[in-house]
Amino acid sequence: VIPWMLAVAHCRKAWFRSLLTAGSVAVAVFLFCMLRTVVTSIEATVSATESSRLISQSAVSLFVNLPIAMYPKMKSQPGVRAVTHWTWFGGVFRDPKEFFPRFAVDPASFREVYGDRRPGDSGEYRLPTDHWEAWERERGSCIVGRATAEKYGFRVGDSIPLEGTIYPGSYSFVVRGIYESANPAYDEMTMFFHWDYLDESQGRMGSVSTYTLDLDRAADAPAVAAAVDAQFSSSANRSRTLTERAFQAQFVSMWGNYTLLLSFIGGAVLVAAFMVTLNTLLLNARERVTEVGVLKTLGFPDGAIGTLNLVEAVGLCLLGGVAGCAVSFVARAALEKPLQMFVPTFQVLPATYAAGLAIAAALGLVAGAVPGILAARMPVVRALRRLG
Amino acid sequence: MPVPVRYHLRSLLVRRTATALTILAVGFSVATLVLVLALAQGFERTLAGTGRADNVIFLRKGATSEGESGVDRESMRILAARSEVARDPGGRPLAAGEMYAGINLDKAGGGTTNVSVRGTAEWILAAREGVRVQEGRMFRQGSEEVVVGRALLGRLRGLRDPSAAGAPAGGPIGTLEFAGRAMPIVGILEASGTAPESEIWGDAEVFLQVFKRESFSTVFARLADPAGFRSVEAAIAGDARLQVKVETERDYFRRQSGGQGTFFRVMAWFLAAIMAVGAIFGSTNTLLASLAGRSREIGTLLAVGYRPWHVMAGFLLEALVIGLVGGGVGVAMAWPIHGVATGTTNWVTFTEQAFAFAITGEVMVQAVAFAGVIGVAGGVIPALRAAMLPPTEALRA
Repeated sequence: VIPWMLAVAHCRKAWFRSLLTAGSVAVAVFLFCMLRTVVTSIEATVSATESSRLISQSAVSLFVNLPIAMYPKMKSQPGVRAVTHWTWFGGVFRDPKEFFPRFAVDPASFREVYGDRRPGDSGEYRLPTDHWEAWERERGSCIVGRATAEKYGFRVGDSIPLEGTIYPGSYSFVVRGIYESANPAYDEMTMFFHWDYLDESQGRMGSVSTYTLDLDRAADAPAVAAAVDAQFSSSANRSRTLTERAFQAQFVSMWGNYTLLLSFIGGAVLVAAFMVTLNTLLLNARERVTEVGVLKTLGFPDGAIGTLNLVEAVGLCLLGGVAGCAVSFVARAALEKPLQMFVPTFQVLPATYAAGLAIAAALGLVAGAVPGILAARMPVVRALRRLG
Repeated sequence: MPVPVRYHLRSLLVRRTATALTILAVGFSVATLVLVLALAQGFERTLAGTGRADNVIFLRKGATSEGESGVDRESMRILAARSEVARDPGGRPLAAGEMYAGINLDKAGGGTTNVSVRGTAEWILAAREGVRVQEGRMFRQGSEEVVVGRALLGRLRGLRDPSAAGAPAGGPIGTLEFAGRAMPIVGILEASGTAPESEIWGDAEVFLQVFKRESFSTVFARLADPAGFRSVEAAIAGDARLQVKVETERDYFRRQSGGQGTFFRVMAWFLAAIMAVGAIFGSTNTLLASLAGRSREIGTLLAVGYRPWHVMAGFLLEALVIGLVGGGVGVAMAWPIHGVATGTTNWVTFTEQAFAFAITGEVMVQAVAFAGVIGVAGGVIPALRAAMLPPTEALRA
């Protein structure tokens, strides 16, 4: 028999303390959820990549361009369904701090690889067909991602002025579409405009940053990558062809050891919450010495008293855990925008919420076990002596 | 009548466990703040300490970094001939066309990173004081030899690990393999922990060939007098042949630390502020529990003539002490990270920037001040409650 009604009495008596304790667990679970989501969001940029795609970059460096003359050779490679190319423009919009990525691409083949012309409606970038067409038709036009459009209030028909950094000159592009991304590996910040327009303005330099090869079958990826690199191995412009996943992983690894840093912080957060919880439970236990003595005299077994303490502790922490998850749910939307520079999407996974709750319960179990054990072990005589 | 300081300090010791747990909770919040601030500080110090005010970098107009810039040879000749540029004893201008790029290399621990390579002149160390060849020698003009920054050792695959046993000074450093070439590494650069320690330097003309470029990225020059900067700046603005802008070497590197350093700082305070909420809750609990058990003591204090504000100040003092000791504990917990080498991608150059966590005096002052604020904030409710205890009721309890 467990004296459950005592739990209610405890809550009434020490409601403020319980509230603060649950609050500090909530803070810890909230921070845990956010830190974990940073990690899962970064991982998604790698794991959500398309396995039937290859990216070909210069073997020297990502900063070295490849000639456009490689395009037909890439396209004629067996197993390759479509090829498109990206060229990093850089540039400044208003101020160098107002940053969003800008690429020069070939709209026609871009639609085949990433857009509405990809078979099976599987293109990452979503745009109404008439917007795709308008963009492809008009050489001085561009499309921008929803996030960037919202940030700067760009609408279809607006002009975006850019100052060249790598490609000197002043440019202006008319927005012909605002796309959304259907894949967490692709952000909604980037601006895409016509490579041909850029190339002409630069006196036909004829070079691109990377090629994207969309394959018929994902299983062919290693063979096609090897064949492409072999084809250019003795040329002046050697290529380094990677799966989209490996290509994205390069950028993640540039962050340095961020998982270790975030784990350190997450650990500190949880240990701090543990200290606060343990402290509360010890304070409770101290004030309930008399009560325990009475219960024991009445014949309640040690186990029952210990169980009651444990259930209270776990319940308190779970309450905090639920609150922490709720705060995470609300804060996620607020944090998505400032974090957009780093992760295309900032979604708290169900597994993250579940882990947050599990951690809260574990905090309660471990912290609750300490005073529970002390209470259960306390001899009746000593407990009652404190009656004073 | 002064606040009974000794009584309050002793009270903290009476409830040892509660005080210690509360101090630890504050300590972990402070340790998090210190950890991330030390990251920001280390990153910023590395860049802010790089370069000199009397060295200048000419970049193409509009370019924000060396990697985006391009300066042709004609401009290079015009710039080198300017009278503000220092000359060596033989009368040669101390100006060099440089080629800058990031190359993708394998990290020692797996993964890849972009590393800065700088094609420059063999004599450049004469102008870039503060950078020296720590081991080996400088590369030879016209050769494929390179020298590597000290911070890259152990961070890149194929380079000697600086901490590995049996890696004698003077032993082979490694070869730099990229673009189908094997470039011998003949020396190690030391620059007091600043940016060149993350770079690879070699001959500009050789690098231009490797990267198939005709133009230099930038032009570096030593000014005979730092005051010459203004006249150079005015002269190039008025010269229609030149599509360049000028920055001092120091300002160029300082500017790189701006946005990213701020980001790290915002992250540090954001995390710490949220963690502080938990710590404040904990310390409020501790002090309230302490207060509940001390009604009689408070009543006595009031009965012998202390005023309620004395009691309030006393509880705030207890809270402050918990905070400050927690701050000290937090700094101590974070201390082992001081000096640990790490690296991240510099957002301006998009290349790897190695640096060391730096728990500077500034970081410690901020951490302890933060701890004090957490402490006092946790004492507000208990102190108000203590001050509101009616003396008779307090004694009766």
